[in-house]
Amino acid sequence: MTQTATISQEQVITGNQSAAWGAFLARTQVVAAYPITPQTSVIETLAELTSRSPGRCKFLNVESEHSAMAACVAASTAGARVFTATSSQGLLLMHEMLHWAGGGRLPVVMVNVNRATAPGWNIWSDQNDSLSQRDTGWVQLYCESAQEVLDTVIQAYLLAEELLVPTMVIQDAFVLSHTAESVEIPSQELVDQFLPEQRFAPFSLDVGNPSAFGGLLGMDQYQEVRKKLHESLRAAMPLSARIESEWKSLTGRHYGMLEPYRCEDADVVLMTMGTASSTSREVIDRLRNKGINAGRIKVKMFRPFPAAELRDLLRGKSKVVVLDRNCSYGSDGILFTELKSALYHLPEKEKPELYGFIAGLGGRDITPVLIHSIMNEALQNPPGTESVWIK
Amino acid sequence: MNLESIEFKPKSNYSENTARVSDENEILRQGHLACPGCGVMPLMRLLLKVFGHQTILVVPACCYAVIDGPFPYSASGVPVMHCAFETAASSASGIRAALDMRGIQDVQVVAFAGDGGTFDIGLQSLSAAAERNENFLYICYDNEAYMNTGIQRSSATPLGAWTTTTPDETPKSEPKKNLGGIMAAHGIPYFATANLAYPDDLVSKLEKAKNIHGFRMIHYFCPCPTGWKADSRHMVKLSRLAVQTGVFPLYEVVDGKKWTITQQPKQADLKDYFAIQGRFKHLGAESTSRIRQKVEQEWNWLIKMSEL
Amino acid sequence: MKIDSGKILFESEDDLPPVAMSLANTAWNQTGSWKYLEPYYQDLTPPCVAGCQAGNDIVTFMRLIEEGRLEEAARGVLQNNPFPASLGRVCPHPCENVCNRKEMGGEIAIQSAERFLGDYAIRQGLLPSCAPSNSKRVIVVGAGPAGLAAAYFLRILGYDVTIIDSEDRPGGLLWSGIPPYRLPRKVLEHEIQRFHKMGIGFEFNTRLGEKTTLDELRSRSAAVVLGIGLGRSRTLGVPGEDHPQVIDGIHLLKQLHLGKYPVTGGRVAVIGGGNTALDCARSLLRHGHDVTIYYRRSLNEMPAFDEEIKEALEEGVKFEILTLPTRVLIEDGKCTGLELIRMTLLDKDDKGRAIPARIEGSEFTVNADLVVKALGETLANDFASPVLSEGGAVRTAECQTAIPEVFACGDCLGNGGTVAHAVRSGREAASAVDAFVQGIKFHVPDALEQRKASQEIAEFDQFNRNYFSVEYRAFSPVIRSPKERKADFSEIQGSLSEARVLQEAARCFKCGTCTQCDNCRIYCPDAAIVRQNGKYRVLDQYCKGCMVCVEECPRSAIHLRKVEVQL
Repeated sequence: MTQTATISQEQVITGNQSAAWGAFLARTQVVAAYPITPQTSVIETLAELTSRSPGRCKFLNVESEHSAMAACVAASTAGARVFTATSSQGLLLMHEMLHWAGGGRLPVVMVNVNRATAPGWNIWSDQNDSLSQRDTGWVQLYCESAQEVLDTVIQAYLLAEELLVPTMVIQDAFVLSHTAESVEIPSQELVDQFLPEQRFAPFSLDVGNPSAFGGLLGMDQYQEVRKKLHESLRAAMPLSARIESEWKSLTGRHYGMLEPYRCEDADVVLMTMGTASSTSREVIDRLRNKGINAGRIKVKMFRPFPAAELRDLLRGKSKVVVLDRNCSYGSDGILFTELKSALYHLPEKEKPELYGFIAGLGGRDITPVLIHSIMNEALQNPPGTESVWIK
Repeated sequence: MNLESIEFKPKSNYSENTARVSDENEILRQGHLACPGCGVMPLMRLLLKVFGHQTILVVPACCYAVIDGPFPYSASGVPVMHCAFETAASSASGIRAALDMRGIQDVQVVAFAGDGGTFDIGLQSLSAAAERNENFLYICYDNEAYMNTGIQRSSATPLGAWTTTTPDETPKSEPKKNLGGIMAAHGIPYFATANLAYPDDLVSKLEKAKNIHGFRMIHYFCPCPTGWKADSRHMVKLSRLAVQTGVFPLYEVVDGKKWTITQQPKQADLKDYFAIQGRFKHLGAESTSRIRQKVEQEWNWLIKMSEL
Repeated sequence: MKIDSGKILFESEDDLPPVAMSLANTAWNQTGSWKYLEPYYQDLTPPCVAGCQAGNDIVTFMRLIEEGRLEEAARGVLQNNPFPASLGRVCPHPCENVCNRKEMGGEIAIQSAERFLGDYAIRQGLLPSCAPSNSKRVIVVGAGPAGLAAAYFLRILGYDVTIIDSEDRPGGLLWSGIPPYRLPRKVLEHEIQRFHKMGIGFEFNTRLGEKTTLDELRSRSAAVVLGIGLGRSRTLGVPGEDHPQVIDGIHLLKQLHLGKYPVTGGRVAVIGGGNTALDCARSLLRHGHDVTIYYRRSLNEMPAFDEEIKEALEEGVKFEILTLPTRVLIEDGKCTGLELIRMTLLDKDDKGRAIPARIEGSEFTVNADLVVKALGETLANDFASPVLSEGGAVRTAECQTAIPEVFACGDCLGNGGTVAHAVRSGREAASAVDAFVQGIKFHVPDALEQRKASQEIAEFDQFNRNYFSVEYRAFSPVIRSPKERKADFSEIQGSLSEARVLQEAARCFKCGTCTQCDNCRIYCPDAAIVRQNGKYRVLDQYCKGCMVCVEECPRSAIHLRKVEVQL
């Protein structure tokens, strides 16, 4: 279990363990992390893996998540490949430093386990924690399986280091983080072939060529410098296609930043992020068996938001049903809102009817029954202007 | 005999070592944005002369973050990482880890933070880095308030001082937080206080700190004419009086256990120290005597620690 | 992206880096524009130098001594001072009286240091460096301190010099006036030797107006310098003054020093309060006489040097102050004493001296076998000439008399009185001659000229005392007790050892002089003070005018001035 092999090996491991394997295989050099349920097994696994390979990675047991991200940001600025993991309150505490990683153009890779935020302590899955970080300049990739988590963490390094943009790999609490499945752990050789040595950020601390990073940036230049972050993020979609194609050639596995399922001739398309994407496949199949042209799009890349790609996929569909396991309080479901603004630019004739549903907050199970009911709701009723909250 | 051409050896007031070190090539460039008479700059100059080019500075939000200059310029002459306010120690830890992993052993990491970023918002990450005995030097230059944001009170503000958030009617009612005691309790390899008016002491402490592995800290008394409502020309006088009155003792603590007082105060009176600072001008005789008592109390404690 | 004098210009968005990072340093930012007061280095005149009549650059010599560069120091002294060993014994050291060190442990023993260097120069046979001969001859009349000084400085400037004197030996009052217990003959002889070694010629027994005339001297020289002293003693103006036992003090001293001891009787009354009076009194005391000095004002107003008065009192000379002779008492053709009247002091005159006034009816008499008059001098009758003199002194403008090639210096100008003054005067006359001969403008030579110090005096209250500690003065040992000393004419005061002199030199503050103590350079927050060519320099373009350097300068060598606004 703890040896890297020259050939891939199949193991039954959880989403968290997969995340740890991904970071380890990617040869992360510095890990700074702080424990929080349900992330703990990520860093425990990683601690175990790195402790058996002395000199491979420096593990900083910091005293808070804010310090974890600060140390990662700093270590990245000093040219090391870094990794951390967190969830919920921890992610929120990191918020200031997430902005720093984005604006600082640092290729930090982090795994976030989606967990509901307090108060009321709640350790189960919902997406508010990661989605409320959507403005910080990070790539956000939502996974539905342990294999995907492992693969995505490795790919994330390539993406982050090319674009100089931090990347967050996200998985649902417990239903993914703590659920074991059969995962193919690629060999170190394969990963080394795929992921070259740290592409040393050209902007880093170097006594031979000293610069000051992150100082006063005035009103005459700030906007233009930040625009470059935005433009780099926008390049993540095309770049990820190349990265995935390369990964496919090495491992045979491919995910897609948007994964459409039975969408081509669909009238009603469901949109999901996270493990609900898996559950919904079954519901789509059942609806199809009943003669309903249903389809589903899994949104993997939430940031940058694939607006153009979604317009292409949904153009001319009659109905789109968005399942949000989150809410931007005072506004609406976040995927619903962003999709709505993306679809605004479709000509009236091609704009589908848009339905929004908020469910599963605080980790309440999103079952096939629930998904079925929202599809029926959409099929039978006209759309409202706001999401419907359902159990 | 041409008197104009007679050359004399410089007769430095300071030790040969200090004179030599201070003569080293200037790494810091002029043109920085410090106020006239800013007490942090002679420290930075000497720090860079002692540590040389193989240094990375970590600077959180503080006066120096602005002093270093706006984009796209930097006065420091060595790499600087500007970091978030409370992260000086955690950022320095990260940089050290990265350098170690990259096999770069001959570059020192120096965190350079104000009192706000050390005593208050940065205390958590400072404590953690100290507890982990992270290998870097942390310098707190203490101008006794949040000067960069306009002279607000910090826990390093001394008893009785005026700040914008502790105005004359309600001056600071708590004594200055005992940073030395806190850091000693962490058992770090080296902690020292230092002061600009004692350059030999300051340089020797910088040199000591340079050669120790593990977590080292220097707490530097930083006169701020702007924030203390003092004349810029009194930069050194303020520093000197702070030591001579006992307000800012000069001492070292090794491994959290061995306390050594490195300068005995002379008999200077608090009144003379307060008289040249507007931030103390509201103090009456009673307050001054209470402050005097507190200073004495703390001295007695320090003496006891040094006798252990 | 363009770079223009260190400033970066981004020409397009593409030029911008993707992160906030520095691409250059801040050196282009001339923060010097922030200030309205700027510091500048300017050595000031130390009070000792301002007070030194002879024009010694005392601080430079102290710095050389401190570095152990004794030969350089001695040579430096000699370049400005013909008689350091003598002045180091006889000068009233006004330098020490104004020394700033007196505030922190006692004034520096400057005179002892001068004496030490003078003795050193004698031992080492050092000479000043002289310009090669320019074949122009100058004749100096008078081999007293002023004439000797003028000759010395003229020789340094390259002139061929001959000194003529009416006596049979050189020195003037240095040998005929000042007693050996203050200035040992051997020391004087050695200092005079220097003149011979420098190639200065002497013609003795040559009195102006007898053996030669001014015209004759002018005919065989490019210039003539008169250092003839005064020569005519003042009189009491009382009955009996012309009695043979009422003698002139200057004459008495000469006789004593020539070994012709003319005095017969026991009790001596010396009239006067100047150094001559004291010299007479103490010399006669050493010959066993009972001496009383009578002076019309109080001890405070006595012009004699304080040390002289103190030592005289210790030796047992009696003083009767506030007394004035009214009559010499003569009985059977012998002088038996004096009648005197008591005086009182009224308010000060415009020179700040108290005006003495007789107390009517307070006459009294004292016994004396010999009366010595030491009342000061004016220009000798045999030299009085309406062209050259006026009011008992030679009249000059910038040392030049009414006759263009004739110059004058020293006591004969009427405002002298000390050897140090004679040295200054002689130096000025030499400069005046040189300017005249070369046809250039004369300016008064200044000891600190080469150091470009300003005339302003370095005041102690401008110093930063934190850099000095109280250190006590090493006193010159007075090697002989009063009882011992009045037994003979051996030297009273001893020398300081080399170690003590080095100590004194180290103790000297070096007022107003930058010694590169490093305060300004270390403390400058803007690194705007650099060391260049062995001196400090302010980088005006960066200095923000915080004034810390001026505040921390221990010895007032850096000052502030308003920035000149360039419009």
